[in-house]
Amino acid sequence: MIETVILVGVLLALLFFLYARARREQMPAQDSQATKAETATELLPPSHVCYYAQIRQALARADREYLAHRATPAVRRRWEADRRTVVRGFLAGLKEDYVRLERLGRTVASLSPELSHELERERLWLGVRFRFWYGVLWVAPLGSRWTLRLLDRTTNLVGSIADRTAAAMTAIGEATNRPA
Amino acid sequence: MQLTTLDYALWALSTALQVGVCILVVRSRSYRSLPLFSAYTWLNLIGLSVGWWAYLRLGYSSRISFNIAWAAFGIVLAARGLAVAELCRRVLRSYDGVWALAWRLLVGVAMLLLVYAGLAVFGVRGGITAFLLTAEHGLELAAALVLLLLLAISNYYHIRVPTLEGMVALGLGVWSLLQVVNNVALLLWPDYYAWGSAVKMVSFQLVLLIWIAALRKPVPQEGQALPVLSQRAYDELAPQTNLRLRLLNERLLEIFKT
Repeated sequence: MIETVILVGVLLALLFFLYARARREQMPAQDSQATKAETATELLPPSHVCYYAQIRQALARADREYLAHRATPAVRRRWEADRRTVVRGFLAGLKEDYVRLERLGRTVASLSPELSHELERERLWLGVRFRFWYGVLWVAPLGSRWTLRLLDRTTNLVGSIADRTAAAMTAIGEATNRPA
Repeated sequence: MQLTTLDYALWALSTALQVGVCILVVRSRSYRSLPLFSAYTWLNLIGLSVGWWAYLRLGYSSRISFNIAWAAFGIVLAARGLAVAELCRRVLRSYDGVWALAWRLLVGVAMLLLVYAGLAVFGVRGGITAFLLTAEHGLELAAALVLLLLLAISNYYHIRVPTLEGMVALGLGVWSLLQVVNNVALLLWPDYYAWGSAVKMVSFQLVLLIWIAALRKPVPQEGQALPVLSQRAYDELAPQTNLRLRLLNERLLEIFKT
């Protein structure tokens, strides 16, 4: 009985949450085509991803080794704290890039007359993977090779979703141009 | 077992609220946009009245009144299933691509849960009441999960859920989920039966209040513009978007190469 109560409690909370989100985030249905085009264009992201090279440099082990010999513990601690702030800022930006691209992909899909099952499934899976690695990176220790590899992987996912969205647009274009 | 004053009071309140919903369905002209849901509200009122009449006339422990009440309930349950299907179609039908993808998913989930309900019923022991409660449990769970999936798909694709459809879905979902708990309690504790009946009616009154709130205003006429990209809009938007995506991709590749 207790399992049923917990399950139903979770499902009820989910129902109210999804209902509230559907009411809050909905796009106006009566929009003109021009407004829709503008909305979709606004969804294009300012690319935080272009700072990745600098972030990777900031995480390089050489810097840590250099400071270990030259700087006092207090300076090193401040450097670590600043570095963490910068990396978290980058991660937040990366997520922003990703969410906007994802939103664009979904908006394009919702407006399209035909969807590719494969692309939709892939975008969903990419979203799950991105959020998972993003969460792991948020709590991961800085300066390890592991963290760098994770950053590579997470940044790569943003590239993948950009690829998928472009492919979806092309697929929709082909479907729309196909004679009935 | 005799009907108590509480039963009478709750029945009277439910009937009054249901009459209110049925009047509002007509007044708001929502039967045009949601004909199956409207039919369900009327069938519900008729079913409740028939059940009320059977128990009042033939007694609470009469076999005939039991059969009449459950037959009426079965018809109402089928009507609710159709209303859920209508809601899914109504919310997603304007989005050709999403609808083509979603209906298979929704039907698949519904079928899976109906098979689960069938299997659960197959192995049940404890007479007709346990059989009916188990069947209802499975069907309510199927309805609730289909509605949840509908809202999740709408959220995922940023699809607009109109106020009426949203509140109807919320009401149907709340009702189904509360019945899942209520039915499990009824199956586990036979002494809970009198309370279970009261809980059922109170939760239904809650749902009726949600629907009354949704039906207060007339349903707006459907707009002409469909949220599907026209060829012209697409021809303007797609190259622009593709160019931005390609640039972002090239920049990413440059980073990985360094």
